[in-house]
Amino acid sequence: MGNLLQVSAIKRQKRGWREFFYTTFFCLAIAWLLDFFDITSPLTATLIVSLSIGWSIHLAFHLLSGLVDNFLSAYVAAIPLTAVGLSVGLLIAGTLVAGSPLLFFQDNYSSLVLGVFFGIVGLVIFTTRAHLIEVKTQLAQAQIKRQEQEKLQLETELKLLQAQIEPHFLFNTLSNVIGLVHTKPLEAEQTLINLTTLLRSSLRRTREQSVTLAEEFTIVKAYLDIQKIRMQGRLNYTFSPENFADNPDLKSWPLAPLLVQPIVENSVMHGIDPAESGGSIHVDAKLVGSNLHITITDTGLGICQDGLSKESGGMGTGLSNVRSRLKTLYGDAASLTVTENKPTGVIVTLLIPRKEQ
Amino acid sequence: MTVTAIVVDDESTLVDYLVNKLGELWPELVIVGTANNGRNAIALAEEFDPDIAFLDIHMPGLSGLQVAEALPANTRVVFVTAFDDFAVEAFQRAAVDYLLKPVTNSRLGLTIERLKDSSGNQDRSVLMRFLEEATTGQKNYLQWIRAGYDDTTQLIAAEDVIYFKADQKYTEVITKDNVYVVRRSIKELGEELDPAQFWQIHRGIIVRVDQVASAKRDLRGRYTISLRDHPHKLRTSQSYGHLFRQM
Repeated sequence: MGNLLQVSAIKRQKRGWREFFYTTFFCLAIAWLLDFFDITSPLTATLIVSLSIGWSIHLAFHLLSGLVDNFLSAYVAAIPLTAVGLSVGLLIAGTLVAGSPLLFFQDNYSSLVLGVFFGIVGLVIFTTRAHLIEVKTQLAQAQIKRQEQEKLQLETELKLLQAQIEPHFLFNTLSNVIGLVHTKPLEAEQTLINLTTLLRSSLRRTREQSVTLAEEFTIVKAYLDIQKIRMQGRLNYTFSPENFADNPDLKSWPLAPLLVQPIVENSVMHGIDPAESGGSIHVDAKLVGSNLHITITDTGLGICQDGLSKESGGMGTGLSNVRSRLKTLYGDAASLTVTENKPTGVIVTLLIPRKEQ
Repeated sequence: MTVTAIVVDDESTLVDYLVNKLGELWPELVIVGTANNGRNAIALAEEFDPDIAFLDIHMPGLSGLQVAEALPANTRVVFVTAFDDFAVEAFQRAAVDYLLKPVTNSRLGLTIERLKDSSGNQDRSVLMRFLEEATTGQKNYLQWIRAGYDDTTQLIAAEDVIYFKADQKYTEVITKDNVYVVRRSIKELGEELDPAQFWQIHRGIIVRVDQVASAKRDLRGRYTISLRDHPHKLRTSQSYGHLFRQM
């Protein structure tokens, strides 16, 4: 964003000088034209009058436009600015030519008439030009904006790839499996099955554009079951609906993968795991109109008064990934809101529109 | 003389596993107790004054590092961690032993050898100094703003804020669609925001830099700011004009 501002400011500065040269050129052309057709004479006086008016108008625009623009549109503002510049220019020209400032307002109207005429011509030419420049700048800005959006999307995709499986989580899970393998072989087996589900889904994620809600729930449950092995009684969870028998619509509802799991992971890592007594997670999905509402409620530590998660301030990376993905995938149609749970914890609500594949 | 130890890990599977392994590889060692969190670990240490403490680093409540600080100096500490935490480098530099999970027989054997050979106190102050070095300088900026809307408390992501506006003692938070109220002064808020992302442009206004679409200067050196996602125009006061001047 900063570079956009800088570019336009530099342009404006350069444009100021360029405008000055155009103005001078315009004035010289008028003087030559008037002299050529013998409308006014002598040439020196014509040049003085012409340049006085031109430079005064230029100066009026340069100094006053910032002030006037606040009340009037740029095009309307040009009219009084030209009038002011014209009057000042004639006063100066009168002083320079005959030593009498009011010369061109009392005795010699020809310069006033010509001034008004060429003032209008100049006004039309210069405002048209300014308008063209404006349009060009807007186009350039739109282009920069689009490039920034593309960059954002790439970054989001990259983050998604990186965020798939945290090494810490993997090592922890494997240590638990090793710990269980002799004493509780069935639990060890189940944990490996869950880990397989999670790993497979995370590989599929990169290739598939869409999963069903039922599939995403399976992934989330696999993740939670692994964490349950680790955290034992400190973690509990419930889902509603528990199964999708009565809800074929909900079951097959298509959504982008990796939207619910990172939020649940966030709740576990930053809400429940750091709490000595642990907590519980409830995941709720329902259709409201043509939107899917998913609510993830936890009873963890929540976010403390200073706006950072109580543990380490790490809360939010998972959530901001989901937020930016929602934005790139669904635009403003989807949303993620975070509210506080009472007495402790966090409620995250996802609103996801139906997206046909 | 018997050697005593405590084993501390929030995951009971891993406590059992380590206790079993120690039983196999060092049968003379007496495990006087195990704990699942930092507070219980400190209580255990006070009760039994063990020679050795195996401490998991990542635990709810007090971390293993905090427990180590509270232990008596004659207790030798072995840290246990699942992953190459930033702390591992500190352990190496301070010559404090550590085990990576999953713990293997050969690595645990090495640790046992070291524990048997060495006597005397560990100098854990060196470790703590290294850890402090590693953790300071990471200032956490405000990521979520707790704000009132109707009767609910909402958490607004800092990246959703367009600008903050002082409203007497409180502060209004302006997002794309809503205006929320925070019961804190804009001065307090401003100190906790990331200065790379938020600029104060007026005594009563803080704007997110990303949202600035253009800045237009008037004759008195003040700027009128147009925003990207909001129709409001903001005006800087003279003393904050330098933010835009060099542009």
